[in-house]
Amino acid sequence: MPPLTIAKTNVPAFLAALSPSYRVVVPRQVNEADVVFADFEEAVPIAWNFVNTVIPPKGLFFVPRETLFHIEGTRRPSLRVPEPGRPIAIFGMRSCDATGLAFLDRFFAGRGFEDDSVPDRIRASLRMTMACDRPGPACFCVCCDGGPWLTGGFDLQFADLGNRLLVDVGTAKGSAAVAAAPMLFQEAEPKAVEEWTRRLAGVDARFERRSYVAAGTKPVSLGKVPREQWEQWAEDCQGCGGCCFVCPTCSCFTVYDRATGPQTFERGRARDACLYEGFTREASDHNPRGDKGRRLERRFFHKMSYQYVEVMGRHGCVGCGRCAATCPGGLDISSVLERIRDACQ
Amino acid sequence: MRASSLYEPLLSEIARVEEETPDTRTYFLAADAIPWRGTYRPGQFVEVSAFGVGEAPFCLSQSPTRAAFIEVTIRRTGSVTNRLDTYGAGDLVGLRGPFGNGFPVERARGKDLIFVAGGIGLPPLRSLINYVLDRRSDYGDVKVFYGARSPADRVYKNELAEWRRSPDLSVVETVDRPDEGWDGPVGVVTALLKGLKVHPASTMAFTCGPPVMLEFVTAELLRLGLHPSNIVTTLERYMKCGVGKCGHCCVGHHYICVDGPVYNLDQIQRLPEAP
Repeated sequence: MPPLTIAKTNVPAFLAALSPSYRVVVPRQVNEADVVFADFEEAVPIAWNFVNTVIPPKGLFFVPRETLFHIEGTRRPSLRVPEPGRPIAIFGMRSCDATGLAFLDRFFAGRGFEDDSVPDRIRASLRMTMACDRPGPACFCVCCDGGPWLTGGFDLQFADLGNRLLVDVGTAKGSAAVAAAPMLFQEAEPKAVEEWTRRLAGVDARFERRSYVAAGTKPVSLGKVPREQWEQWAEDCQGCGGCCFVCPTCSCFTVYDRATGPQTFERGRARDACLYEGFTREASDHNPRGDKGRRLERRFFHKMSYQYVEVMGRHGCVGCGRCAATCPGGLDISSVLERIRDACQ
Repeated sequence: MRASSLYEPLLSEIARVEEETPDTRTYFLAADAIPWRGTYRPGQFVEVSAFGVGEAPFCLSQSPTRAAFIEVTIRRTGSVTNRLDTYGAGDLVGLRGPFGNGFPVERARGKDLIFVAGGIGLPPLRSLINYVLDRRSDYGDVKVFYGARSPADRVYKNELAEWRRSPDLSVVETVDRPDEGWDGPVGVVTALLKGLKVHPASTMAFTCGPPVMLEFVTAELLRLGLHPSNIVTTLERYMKCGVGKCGHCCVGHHYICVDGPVYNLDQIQRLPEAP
């Protein structure tokens, strides 16, 4: 389908037309600085001018805390699995975050055991992404094949032309969405496409941050970064797990049973972080990753090693820059890669 | 929202429980309702739930050739195992599995086999030992070495006595702290291996036990001339999901729950995050 355009003022009407089929989610300004994804309401404005949301939309698909099944009784229990939720239509997601979702889809569906929960939600969703032409100071998606625009992995890709949006239709699902409110879209005239191409041309030069992925991958894969170096860097790690929770590709979780009544329980799963001391602690109290240095090394091995690239088809960073905004110790991906480059020259 | 059925356990009834030691019991789960009975590999494991408390991984301790029950031998250590300790016949546990790679039974075919177990390390090896006994003509000479803290801490006491009587294998046991009735060797299990006559090229060793034991045992097996790829053990890690998703059991890029838990020494030495 050739590119289309839609007036920004018509976007709420378009999203309202999707509402019967989807739970529609949009970026919303919640205070002076922060934008988050929230359920679409026609009366509440959509945020347009922001670099990215504070946390990625990952949580809509890989839910921070969710019930796997309900349990009634203990010794002769019955189990009940919750009903699936409505499919999600997400509008205004950045390219890096869509790349992160594709990564999670591949991870949860792979390795012989399909955890269908996350892939089902991602595949049932309508992914409406927003290309970037104004990267923020922490962004480095250009170094990570994560953006600033997409060539696949979206249903509809929007690009901001001021009062209107250019619309790239990526899939049949995307064109079905357009068909829910066809009168709101026009075929894009050559001038609109030219204008977007002109804007794009300058984007690369506007990135302020670099991520030395290639320089970091080799020493990390081969274990050539000295252990003392990891230990020294890890002194600044607060063990908060913030980097993992804001990361669009981090997928670790824990599983727990929790009482919901005198004889009822739920088995749930909640996100977990490899930087937590208890992450690998065994029942005997033995802990194979008992010190912070080894945990930091582990995180970077998982994100950057060739070994994981081989499994996942790409490295585990999409360049969204959220860890840089989150880590109080300066141990975000791009900073540590720079340190690795300097230490292993 | 519905999460994956991957995590939904089968409800499985405890048929009976056998007290092995003061802190260890074997749970016999009724196998007729378990679709994969008889088809798993020795060395694979299951996730067992005590509902309301949680779930933990345990090796399948009986050979798949003996399919009357699914057996797991469990020592009281944490919250799940302490709750299971209060369970008896008729209670239901959750069961997911079988998971993991299992022992290389095909590669072991035709070879002489040495089993070295310490304490609660015997259950995973027992699944393979009984498997070998049930296919006895496929394998060469079979020797079992078992070390426990004390005579009372030995698991499978009756079965050990049966094995001793059997012409199909030899069994040597040792304990750290003997009691009055003990007339066998005293000391670490490694000492039993010293001076053992083996044909290194056609011998495979399987060993399970506490990390310090494994260190000495593997050193001794290498000294006997075994190739690292013929020294097989299991890696233990804190584990949640059992299906390569939760991330807890990773060593390097290996998920112990999917790629392991069985490894030979050659593979272990090449793991990026060497244990």
